[in-house]
Amino acid sequence: MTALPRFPDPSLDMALQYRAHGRRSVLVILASFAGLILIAGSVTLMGISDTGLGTLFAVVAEKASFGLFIADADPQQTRVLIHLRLPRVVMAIIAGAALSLAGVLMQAITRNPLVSPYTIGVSSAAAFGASIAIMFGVGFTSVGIYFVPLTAFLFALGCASLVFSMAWLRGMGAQTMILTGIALMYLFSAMTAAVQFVATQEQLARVVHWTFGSLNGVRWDAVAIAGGIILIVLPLAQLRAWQLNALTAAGDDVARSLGINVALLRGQAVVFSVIVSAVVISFVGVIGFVGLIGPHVARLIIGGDHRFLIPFSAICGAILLLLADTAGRLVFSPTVIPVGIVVAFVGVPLFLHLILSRRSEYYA
Amino acid sequence: MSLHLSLDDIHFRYGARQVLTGVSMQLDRGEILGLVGPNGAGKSSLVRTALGLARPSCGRVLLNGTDLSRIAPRERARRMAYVPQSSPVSFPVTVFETCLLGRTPHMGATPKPRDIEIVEEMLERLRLQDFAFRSMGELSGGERQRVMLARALAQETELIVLDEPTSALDIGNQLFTLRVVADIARERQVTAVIAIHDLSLAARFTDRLMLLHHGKVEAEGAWEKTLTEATISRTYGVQAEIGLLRGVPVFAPYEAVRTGAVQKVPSQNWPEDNILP
Repeated sequence: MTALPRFPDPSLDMALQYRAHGRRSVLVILASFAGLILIAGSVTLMGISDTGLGTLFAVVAEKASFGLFIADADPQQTRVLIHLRLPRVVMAIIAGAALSLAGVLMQAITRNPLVSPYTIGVSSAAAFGASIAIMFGVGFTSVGIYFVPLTAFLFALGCASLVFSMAWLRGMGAQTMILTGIALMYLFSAMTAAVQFVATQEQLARVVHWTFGSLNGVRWDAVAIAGGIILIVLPLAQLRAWQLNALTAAGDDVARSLGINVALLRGQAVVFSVIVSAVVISFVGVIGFVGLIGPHVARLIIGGDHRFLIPFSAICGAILLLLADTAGRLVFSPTVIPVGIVVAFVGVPLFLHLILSRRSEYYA
Repeated sequence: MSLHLSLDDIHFRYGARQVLTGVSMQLDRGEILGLVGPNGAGKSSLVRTALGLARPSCGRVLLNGTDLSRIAPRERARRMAYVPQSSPVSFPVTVFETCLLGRTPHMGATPKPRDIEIVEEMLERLRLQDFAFRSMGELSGGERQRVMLARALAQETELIVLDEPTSALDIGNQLFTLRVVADIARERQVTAVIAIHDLSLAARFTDRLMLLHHGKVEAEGAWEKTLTEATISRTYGVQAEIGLLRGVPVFAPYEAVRTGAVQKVPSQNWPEDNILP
């Protein structure tokens, strides 16, 4: 077959190709979101106690209709679904999405693929906060179940503010931010180690368990708080997608010559990233890796345009964490392996596979 | 011809080091000015000051008579574009997407058909259409440099400032790229400032030259007056033969001048003076 002449002129191809790429990206995002819902539905049914699809539908329908529809389901199954499985599954989605979103923002504003939401020290600061809360606050029942997460959150914010103000003083450069963050990360790790050194056996076990990152015993109020925050931050980040494109693809000076206030953009992205990652860490502990790998997986599949990359990173992180947590629940059932551990076992092979199977252009 | 860009008595300081001392520059609309001078003479600082990316410690920059600092960033971006010396690639992004960034000051959340049209036109003019959907990471340094130029041209500004736009290009692409810049400048009455090392290219493709040395203007005007054996010896520390080959100015440096060659080369990374042997 002879090749047809390119008509009317080859330049048309570029516009068509660009639009086709955009449509393809939107389709990928929609399909992966449908996939996420499907996976969430199926893993909710998996576990030690058998629950049927009918019960899940009935329970979700009853809750979604605010009780207008009364489910006639098995009370035992209903309790398992409402108090154990569903909050856990929803929190896995929220945490994965939040950490991955935070990661994609941090990587964009530092133009550095090695950066994660934890690079600026929020995780070790939160761990230190949680440690001292566990050590000294166990008796304070009046402060209740929010004491540990709240302390962790405040320490994470404090650390981030420190990094932020140092970077601000130095003109909001990416390198200052990374270096200050890493320095503070070591400082807080050392302080956590110091606290652990003087802790009792029981306290030590709790601190160590907290730092693993686990979705055990997640409550609906935590789900609501974390979910609400990500629902606010995600669209705000999305609004800045094009500016982030300019910053990652062209650098500070060119971005500024394109009319972008780089210092402001960087500041906003840090704030978004810190808030979503800190709130997640505070409730479920330090789940590493998702914030680093989620954005890379997304980028390998969909490319570097942040208009698509931001939502897709969130979806990839959610799927990754959901699968990891399910594996952690089921593989050695009834023993539950903390998701912070499993996620590396699930994520690393996937990531290595993507790197090896992709063309060499990914990292120039 | 009307006065387009004017820099008045610019002083610029980088830390403790005085980089520019009392530099003034006037450009008429549609004029191409070449900025030449040895390493560390202050070319890049002058370029960044002219763009409003660096704030001078003294002096002011006027665009059509308005102080640059009074023009909102987005409005400024619609009027002046920047081609940097190099741009490192850290994440996968295609040539087309990179070029489309030039439309940032003109568009809302997403590119319109007109934005895409202009990007197509510029990629074609710079013969990059076959690379359009390749990742920037796959390109050679020279191809990448042409993409950055295409991006700046897609910005459709009345003024364009280029910092060493040909440093990574082979001789064929040097001529081709500067020809495109000169053509566009003439067609659309675009004013251009080009910082460039190659004296032959500088003399050939610009209307006027400014020779910088130690942050001061050493000479300014037509290339024959700016680049003489005396000024070249004084600033670059080389003896050079200057001639015309088929009407094209050619500079052949043939020997380093002992006294001139020993010069302080201020470096941005190392604050200590780096004395050449």
